[in-house]
Amino acid sequence: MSLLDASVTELAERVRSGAVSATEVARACLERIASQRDLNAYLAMNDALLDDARKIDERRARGDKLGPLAGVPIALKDAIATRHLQTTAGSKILEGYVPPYDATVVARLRAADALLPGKTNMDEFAMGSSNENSAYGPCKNPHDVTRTPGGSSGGSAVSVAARMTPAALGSDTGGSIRQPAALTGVVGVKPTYGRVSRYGLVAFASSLDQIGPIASDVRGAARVLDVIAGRDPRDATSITAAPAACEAACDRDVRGLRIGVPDEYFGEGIDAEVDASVRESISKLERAGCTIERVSLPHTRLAVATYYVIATAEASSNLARFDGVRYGKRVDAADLKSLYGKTRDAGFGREVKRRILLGTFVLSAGYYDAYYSKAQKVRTLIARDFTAAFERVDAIACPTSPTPAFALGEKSGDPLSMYMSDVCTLPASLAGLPAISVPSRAATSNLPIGFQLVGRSCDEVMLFALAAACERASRSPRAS
Amino acid sequence: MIDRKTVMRVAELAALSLEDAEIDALAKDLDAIVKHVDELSMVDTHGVEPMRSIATAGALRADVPAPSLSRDDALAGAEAFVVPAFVES
Repeated sequence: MSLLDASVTELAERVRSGAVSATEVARACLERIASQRDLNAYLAMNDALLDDARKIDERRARGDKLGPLAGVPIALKDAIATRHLQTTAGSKILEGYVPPYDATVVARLRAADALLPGKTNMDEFAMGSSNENSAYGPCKNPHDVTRTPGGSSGGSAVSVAARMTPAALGSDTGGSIRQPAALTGVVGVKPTYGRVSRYGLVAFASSLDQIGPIASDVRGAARVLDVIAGRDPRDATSITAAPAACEAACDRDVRGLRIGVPDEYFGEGIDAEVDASVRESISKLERAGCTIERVSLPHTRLAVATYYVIATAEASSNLARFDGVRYGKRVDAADLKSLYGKTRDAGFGREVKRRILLGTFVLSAGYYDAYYSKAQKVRTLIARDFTAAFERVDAIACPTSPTPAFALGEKSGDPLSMYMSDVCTLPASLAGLPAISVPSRAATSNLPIGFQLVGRSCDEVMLFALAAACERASRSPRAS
Repeated sequence: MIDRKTVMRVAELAALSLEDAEIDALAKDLDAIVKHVDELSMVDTHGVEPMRSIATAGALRADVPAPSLSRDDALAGAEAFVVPAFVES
């Protein structure tokens, strides 16, 4: 058994107790990543990894108490800024960009004694659901290399699914943590909007973006979230609410909790095996003592249209900063306007251009009220659906993705059908709510299926309690 | 209807110098997306407030000087800040 088959918490305890050194873990991690290079999960490696590991071992030898992620390798999505390590967000326009500072989440992982082996592949600027929009080639699903791992945090999910690291950080704007976690058979968490600082995250859509953990088990995801969550004075949108004790919640009794099952997330458009698998997971919660209730979220079907107006509008504004002057790539031209235009045409991929154009269109004079303002009103209606449901239930259970992993190339020529693959994750994003995807019973093809739980704002504790109960029920022999 | 002319106008606003060959394909893609998005126009939103932010924070940090990037770090990538002249002499 490889060291890297251990979970986040098991590995941290072994390093803290001295049963294994951080250096041994770092070596095993580098070997594992090198042996899995065909999956194209990593875009850049941290050359200082063995030095970092040695420092952790020296501190332990001196008698220092090590942090909660001691010696645990955690991969970072390439949208997260790392001091002295290239950060491209999967784009050619940022090729060669080396940030002069660490994102707050990176600083917090370092302070908890985590090892940070490298930066993971992603759809360019997090725009995509298959990792095929990366400027550096698609990442592949370890369960079937002809299929996508999902996206946009595909490299982070694959790093965990292929046992290169027991955990990773991703970012989720409309499902970019949960959907790849579902398609690769690991745990993925989108925390409440504002729960985790975004200082140092390359911005896509600022009213939606949130960083969160991907891990091989629920407890591991909880420990990573406990480390990275919390108010950061450098991010004015980070919330001041008391941090949730997510790891402790994994041991909580779930008897008597009320689970809502929304009609709108089942039936048409949802693969029959996904439907059956998710209903089995819901039955597991029922056997664990939860009560199950039907709920209705009537505006669900409008989430795709609402999201693709709001997210592209925000993206068109956020990506204005990539002008060839201050970052990365530049195409020289005789005048400044052509320098901007040519740099942006050469530096951005097709999907990013599509979204910039769509976002600029919906914000342009004459269209703003019909599209942007209208989408913001429908967003209010989507959020109200959840508020009404949470008067009756404690969490909502549904699929994470309408299908298991799809084939590379299957949807890349049809943007609208790609957008529809986000249908189950977008509503919680638009409402700013926390959500978790945990593995459900796999399809007959052995492709993983994800089970999603959505909670009230700031109630990550409820999600971890329920997700851990599901995980226990899946591991122990099925109750008759 | 998103046509070639609309794409060119929006690309100008977005500072994107598209290659001529890209324009028709982008117009076709965007037209399909906008047709889907048009379903929003059927929703009754009379009296509904637009959700402008879901941030519950709003607390700004105190405006006091604190340690920041060193001068060397801040200027490490700065040799590229030279741009073509854009003010007419």
